[in-house]
Amino acid sequence: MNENKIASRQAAFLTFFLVLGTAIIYMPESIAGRDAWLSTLIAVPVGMYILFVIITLQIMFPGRNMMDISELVLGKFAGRILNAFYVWLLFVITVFYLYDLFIFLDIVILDLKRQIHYSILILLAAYCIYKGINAVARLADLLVWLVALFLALGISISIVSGSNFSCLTPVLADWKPVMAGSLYAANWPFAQVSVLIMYLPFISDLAEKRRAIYTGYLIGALILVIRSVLNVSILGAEITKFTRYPTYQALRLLEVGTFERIDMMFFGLLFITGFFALLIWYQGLVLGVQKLLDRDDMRYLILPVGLLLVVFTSYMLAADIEVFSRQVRVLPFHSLPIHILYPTIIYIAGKIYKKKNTASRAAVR
Amino acid sequence: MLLILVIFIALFVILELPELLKSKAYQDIMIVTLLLFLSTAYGIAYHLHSEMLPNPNQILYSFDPLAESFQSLLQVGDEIQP
Repeated sequence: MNENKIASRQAAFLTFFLVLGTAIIYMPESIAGRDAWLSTLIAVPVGMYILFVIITLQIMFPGRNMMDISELVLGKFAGRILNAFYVWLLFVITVFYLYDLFIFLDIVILDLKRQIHYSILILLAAYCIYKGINAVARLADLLVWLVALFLALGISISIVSGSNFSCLTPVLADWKPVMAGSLYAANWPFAQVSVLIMYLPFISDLAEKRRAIYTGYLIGALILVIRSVLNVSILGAEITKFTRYPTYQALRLLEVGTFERIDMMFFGLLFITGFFALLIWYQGLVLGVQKLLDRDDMRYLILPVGLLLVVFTSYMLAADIEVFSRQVRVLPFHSLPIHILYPTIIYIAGKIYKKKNTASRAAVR
Repeated sequence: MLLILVIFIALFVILELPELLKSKAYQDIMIVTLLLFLSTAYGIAYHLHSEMLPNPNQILYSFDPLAESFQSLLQVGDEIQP
């Protein structure tokens, strides 16, 4: 296969990792308490909608990057402004992913400075990006089975040894927290599939096998629903609400026979999914900067953009207390509109552009 | 932070700069210089605990009123987790 081409199946694995990402650790919809699984379920269509729009657009304009399509259908000026908004979003979300992963790693590696954590993660991701999109996709291809095995193991052990499903009742006693939870879940992780915008032009068989990507997304979403059910049934609604990493906390409580503290066995799984999300966003950001600045090559941008991420994560997210009490609270209101509106505006403009083009061609004939 | 700045810049100079100079890609070198300058400026500001440079957080904080009205509408708040 061409070095810069990936198969739909590999894109589906990337989508799967993207959906699990760090959301499997943090459970953004935990605000909904015992109905968190309902919040997860309600948020799923948001990502499906975004996937539908971006895939349809890509098929309408094959071989073109979304940023090119934007400039083509909206005009150079308006298209570029819209693209700048999206690159800004890519930047902010990557900064947050880097921070999330650092906070999680901090559980086991306590005595390293945060900037060193950031640098190690970014250099690791930069190495993967240097190897090319195809290498990243093949890595996903390779690791997805390992992740699936550990997920199956984790889910089975949780059901057998620690769950108390009565914690999930009564269902939907109050709809307000469910709606709030679904907004947070819609923003993170479901709407974040929008980053696939940067990857779709590299998929060789998108038109024929696009269903694989939807399948990858839905499997990821199903696992998140199961995660929400299990976390609440193991920890209870209150602890789930106030714990920083409900999934990790739930895994800590599990026992298999005389074995305790099996959470370390699953640490790798949670790290892999989180790291993949960071990798996908970082690569998306580099591709976005390359397109925005109209450059032919992205290779030389990898390290400078990486350094920018390390510096700005330290500068913007300097204090934990501020991140969790303020920034995370406002993030959906900043990001979700861009996730949804960016592809939607281009989609509508693309439809109009195609219609006009067909009409003018018919007139010439 | 200063050490990290040095490491990243050194890596770039070793891995990428020779190729860019060889192909006379001066526009690309300009772009990278700008990005590295931005990183260095913010890195030094972070190192000195200075708040002289504009913080991009201000853009996020401009959505505070919206988040507050949403929370009061749905009567949720303190328990929001990352």
